[in-house]
Amino acid sequence: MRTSGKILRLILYVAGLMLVLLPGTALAQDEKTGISLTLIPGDYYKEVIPGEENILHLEVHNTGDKPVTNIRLSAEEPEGWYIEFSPAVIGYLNAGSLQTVDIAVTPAKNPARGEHRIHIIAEANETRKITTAFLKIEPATSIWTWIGVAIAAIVIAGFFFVYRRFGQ
Amino acid sequence: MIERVHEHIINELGSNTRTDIIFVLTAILLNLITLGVNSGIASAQNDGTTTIVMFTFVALIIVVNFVAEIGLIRGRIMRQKLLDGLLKMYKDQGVEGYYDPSLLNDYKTRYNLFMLAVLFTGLVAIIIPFIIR
Repeated sequence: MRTSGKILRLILYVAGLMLVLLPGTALAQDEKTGISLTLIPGDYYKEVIPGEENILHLEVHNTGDKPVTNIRLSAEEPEGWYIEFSPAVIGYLNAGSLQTVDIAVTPAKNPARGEHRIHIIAEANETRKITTAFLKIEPATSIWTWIGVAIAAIVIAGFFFVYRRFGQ
Repeated sequence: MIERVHEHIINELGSNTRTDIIFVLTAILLNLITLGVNSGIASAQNDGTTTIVMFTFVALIIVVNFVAEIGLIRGRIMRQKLLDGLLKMYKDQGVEGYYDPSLLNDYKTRYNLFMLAVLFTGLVAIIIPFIIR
């Protein structure tokens, strides 16, 4: 009677230990919720022209086990920039599926040269995700180049005139 | 007396050379400094103020380069006159054979090269910042 009580206690102890150490197998598994944002290769670091619309392609992927609803897309952009998502809202995204979104980025007409960072935010009812793209300003053939060339041409003509006028 | 005049001409030639060196070095140095400043301005934020500053420096380059050019032309003419006088003096003294008159042409070529160097550094200082912008 005493031995069987010991055995019963040992069984209970082992069972309790298993419950503590192996919760994944012993308990019901939680459902995962998550989305990932992926810009197509080449769009993470892209050269853009000031004042012109540049399209980036974003893939929103439901990496969880249950649907994600009402994914609202927005961005934190530098001052004077304009960013538009198409579509701006994804109403429903099934587990494992993905949706492509076009991002129209219009930099300011006269931005500082160099790299600019934009944060792309996807906010669903269930989760939230942010990714970052780096955009480098690539100036279009500027009117300033022609102004510089024009001034240089005037200077050359002026030099030639002065040389002829005072050089005799 | 002729020795005094000779000495005076030689002194004038010396000061003429120094003045020309100052013109050339000042113009080239200013061109290079302005190239750096304007390139820095051009690669930074573009707004009305920076544009005005840039054009002010361009105006400075143009003025200084024209001053240098006129100064060099005048220096060349002055040197030619001084050397003409010197040659005449040598001729009168019967020692003109020691001075080759073709040196005058060499001086002219050298002055033209100086002016070309000033002009081209000036052009680079003007154009490069506008290309960067």
